[in-house]
Amino acid sequence: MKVKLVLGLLVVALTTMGFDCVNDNALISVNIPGLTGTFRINPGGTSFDETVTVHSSDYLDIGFEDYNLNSLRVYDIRVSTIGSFAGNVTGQVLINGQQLLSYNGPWNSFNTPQSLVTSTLITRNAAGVAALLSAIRNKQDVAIRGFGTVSQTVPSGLAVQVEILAQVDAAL
Amino acid sequence: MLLLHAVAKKRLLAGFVLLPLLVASGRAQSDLEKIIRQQNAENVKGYVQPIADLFGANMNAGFIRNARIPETGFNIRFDIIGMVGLVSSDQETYMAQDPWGGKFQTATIFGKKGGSSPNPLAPTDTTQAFRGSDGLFSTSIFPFATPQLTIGHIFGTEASIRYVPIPEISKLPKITLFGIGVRHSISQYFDAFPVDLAAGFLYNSFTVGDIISVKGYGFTLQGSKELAILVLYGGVQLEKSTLTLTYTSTVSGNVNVELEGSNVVRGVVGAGLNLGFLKIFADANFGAITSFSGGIGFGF
Repeated sequence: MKVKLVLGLLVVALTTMGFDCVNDNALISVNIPGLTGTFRINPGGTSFDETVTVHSSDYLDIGFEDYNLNSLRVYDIRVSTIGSFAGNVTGQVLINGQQLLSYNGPWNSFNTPQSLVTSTLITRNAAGVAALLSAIRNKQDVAIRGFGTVSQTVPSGLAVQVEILAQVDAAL
Repeated sequence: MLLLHAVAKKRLLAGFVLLPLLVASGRAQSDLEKIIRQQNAENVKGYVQPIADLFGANMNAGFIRNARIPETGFNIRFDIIGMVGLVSSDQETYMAQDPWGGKFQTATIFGKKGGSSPNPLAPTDTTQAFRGSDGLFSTSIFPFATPQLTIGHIFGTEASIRYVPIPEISKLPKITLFGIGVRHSISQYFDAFPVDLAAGFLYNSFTVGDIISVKGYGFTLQGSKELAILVLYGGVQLEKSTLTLTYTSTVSGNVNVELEGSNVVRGVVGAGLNLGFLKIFADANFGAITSFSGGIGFGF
């Protein structure tokens, strides 16, 4: 009888002394990977316009499908060029039809990825961020459209690449 | 038949004691896995380090006890041991790496709100900041519990084993606890030594799912004095524990990091009651981590 009493007290202690103490309102900063678009320029052309669709299953970690997502933070956008070319490039990136950024400068300058944080060649637009948040919050596909022009006809193998680095909060 | 009944009863008791802990931690464990996947190899170290410290301290506890170990004679004892490590305030925050090469203070797994690092481009714009996750646990103690079976005595030596295999059930991952220990009487080599002395070695491992595994070992020198039913005991333990995290980060791919527990030496003072078949004991452990262990034992 005494043994059962001691065991009972021990179990009560184990279940009440702060073990079920998960922060119910904790916010997890969830990375949004895979928001990358590569836009090829046809050889001999001077413009490009291509859309890449990133499905929600590709940008959202599988564990967060049922969570409420809020407070998107786009902490960096990197624009880079693939291939060698002596001219300039000017372009825009749209998210689901809304402008996220514009960029303008010598093609070779973008051979080293240009960060929104440090580069003067890229300008961010809040409308695109809002469109991105709306899509992520609703777990919708994200259409990344890249279009622009180059200053002269280009050889083959050139492309512009955009990488969006973002986080969103998921409440437990 | 009686033996089978006794074994079944012991299993039931062990499961009964461990179940609340495991079920309560099941959801947290699942959430922990999700948070860990969002961290790169650098930041996950700071976020999870307190767990490594406390797991190590708890796992290596409960081994210093009554040091009186007879030279010969069959003995078997079953203990249920609970341990709690104290979470200190300096384990609630750490300095994390931001994407721009700087550092910022944010919450560990035991912290409160996650910190933010403002974007150098727009320091006041929170939509361009980088933020750490909030703490997952709000608690000042970190518990652990284990059954332990001890068998002796040969040449003043006894062996202990801890083993709890929990298969994967629903969202609860597979959990396995395993530990072994050996204690050898030192005082048997001295005539009329005023206290009982023993030396020991212990090894423990604890795995949770595929992400977390903790391994630890320790060497102990322990002494005790029996005063009627009261046993006063204490000792020193040199120890090491390592928590290994293996996961795929959503930002940096496959990650495999090892975190050393901060406890490397501990002093233990405790007391117990020998009530024949029933033993009750409790002790305080002082080291880099302050913890307490205690429990009940059945046997002789």
